Amino acid sequence: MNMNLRVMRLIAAFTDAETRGSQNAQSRISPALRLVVCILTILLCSLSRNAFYTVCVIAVLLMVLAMMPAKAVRRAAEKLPLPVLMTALLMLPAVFLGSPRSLVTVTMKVFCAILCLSLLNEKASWKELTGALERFHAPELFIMTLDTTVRFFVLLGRWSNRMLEAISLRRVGEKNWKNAGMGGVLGTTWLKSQRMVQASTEAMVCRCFDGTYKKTGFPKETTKQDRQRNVLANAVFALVIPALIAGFVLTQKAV
Amino acid sequence: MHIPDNYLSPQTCAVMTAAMVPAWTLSIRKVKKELSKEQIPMMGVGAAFSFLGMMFNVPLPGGTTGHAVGGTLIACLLGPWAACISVSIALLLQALLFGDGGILSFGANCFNMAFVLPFVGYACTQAFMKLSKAETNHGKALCAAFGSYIGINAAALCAAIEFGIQPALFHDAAGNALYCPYGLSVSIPAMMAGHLTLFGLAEALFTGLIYAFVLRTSPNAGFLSEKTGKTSTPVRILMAALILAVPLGLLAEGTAWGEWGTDEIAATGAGYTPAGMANGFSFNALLPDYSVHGLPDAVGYILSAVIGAAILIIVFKLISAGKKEGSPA
Repeated sequence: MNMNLRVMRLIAAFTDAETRGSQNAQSRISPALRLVVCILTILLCSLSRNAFYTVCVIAVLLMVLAMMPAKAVRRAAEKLPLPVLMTALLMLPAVFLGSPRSLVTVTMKVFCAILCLSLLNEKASWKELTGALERFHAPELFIMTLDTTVRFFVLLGRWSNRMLEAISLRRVGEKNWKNAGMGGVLGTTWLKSQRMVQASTEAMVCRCFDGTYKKTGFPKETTKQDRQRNVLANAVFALVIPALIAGFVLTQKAV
Repeated sequence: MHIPDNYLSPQTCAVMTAAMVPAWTLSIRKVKKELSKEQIPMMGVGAAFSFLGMMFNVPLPGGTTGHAVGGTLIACLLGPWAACISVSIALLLQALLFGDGGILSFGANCFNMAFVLPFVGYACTQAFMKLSKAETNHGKALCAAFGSYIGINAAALCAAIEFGIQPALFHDAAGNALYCPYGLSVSIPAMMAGHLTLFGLAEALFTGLIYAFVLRTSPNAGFLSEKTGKTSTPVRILMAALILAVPLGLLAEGTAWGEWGTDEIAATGAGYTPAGMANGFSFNALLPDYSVHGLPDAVGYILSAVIGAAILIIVFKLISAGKKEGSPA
């Protein structure tokens, strides 16, 4: 149960970016482009057969992180230790089986992936990311299911957490509340989720949401000059894609 | 000037580390008191500049190399206490990640480069400023350059004394040194010859030019932008330029005096490998000698520069994010 809550908390951190969306308002880079670069980076790092490519990507990501505000650096850094340590622990047998490089390579790949996602989370809000999916013509039903699932993970995680706290407080006394543990909490959470789904549907109707997500592209443009600057910034950022691919090809040939 | 492991006896290392403990404690207290939450990331930028400065090796005829440290630069911008912490963390990163400077000798390296260098450099800079009544940016930068020259030479002298006392204090029955085999009569001239000439000049240029640049671009906020409070764009561009230029440091061939490997020491004129070195402590760094195994040296050097500079800035930003609001307090 505690593990589930940890997972939910991690996803909560992922979606909490939405509440601080204002800080991303000034960004000229399209969230869709950011999403493509992020996915491509993780994919190429995973496909890489040696550590060079991953080291290069980590170096660049660390520099990007270093240039962000202190609070953003802290939020991004907080997400790193748990998955990286977990991976290192899982890969530890490789050292005893005579392949210590696997431990370093796989751990670095996980570090790179988490760092990449953390930076994406800081640069684009969840709302912008769902909008980016719409831009890629992902089915609206798929986006809505993904969106609702992630949000409900957070909400139900908080709900389960409160219930677990309540149970732990009631453990002192005559009645044995321990029996109410797993099944009780999960059952109550399920019932709660049913009520929340109903409430969500009603809220959607009230706010005239028909399941259509707005595409997120360039930020709001006020002048022609502004639009030109946005296009230029995105064109320059798009150069990261061929750079990533070229770097991948070169580092794979290096071995 | 990075003393590797096994050049100093464990006893010397322990004494030097013990000497640094009060300096670190006092530095942390002073920085907490004097620097605001927004100024802490500047320490990271300063440490990154120091780290990059140490990657530019300058060759000296005879095969030895040296480099600038930048401790006086940080001291001029943020005060000597902040410089002590910044350079200490840069040295720690170099020792752990890049194998530059020893783990056991970390305290001694900090004493020379993070304590003696910034404090002497800062005191001399302040004295020069008072004497010359420098008010223009160029005048201040010139004072800082002279101060840094004296600072790095004071640090080099300390390192030379630490090396030089080893044979007299620690030797076997046959009179062979257990650790550094060169006495004061060799270590002081060898260290000072380079630092009084090219390495000192490199430190003075590094400090003077960057200090003048910072005074010109952001006279009141140092490395930060006066408008946004973030690292200023000119400073970012300067850092990027330094990172791209670090492979120039590879042009200098040879090893710095007192930084030879165990397999090299006998051939330097000592005639034997001291027992304490042959059977001493060894540590395998993740990116030894600022290189990535299998990649060209220049690429590895640039990657090391990016990773090192980024980690230092991140560390100080994390410290800043953890600092309570309302500081300095």
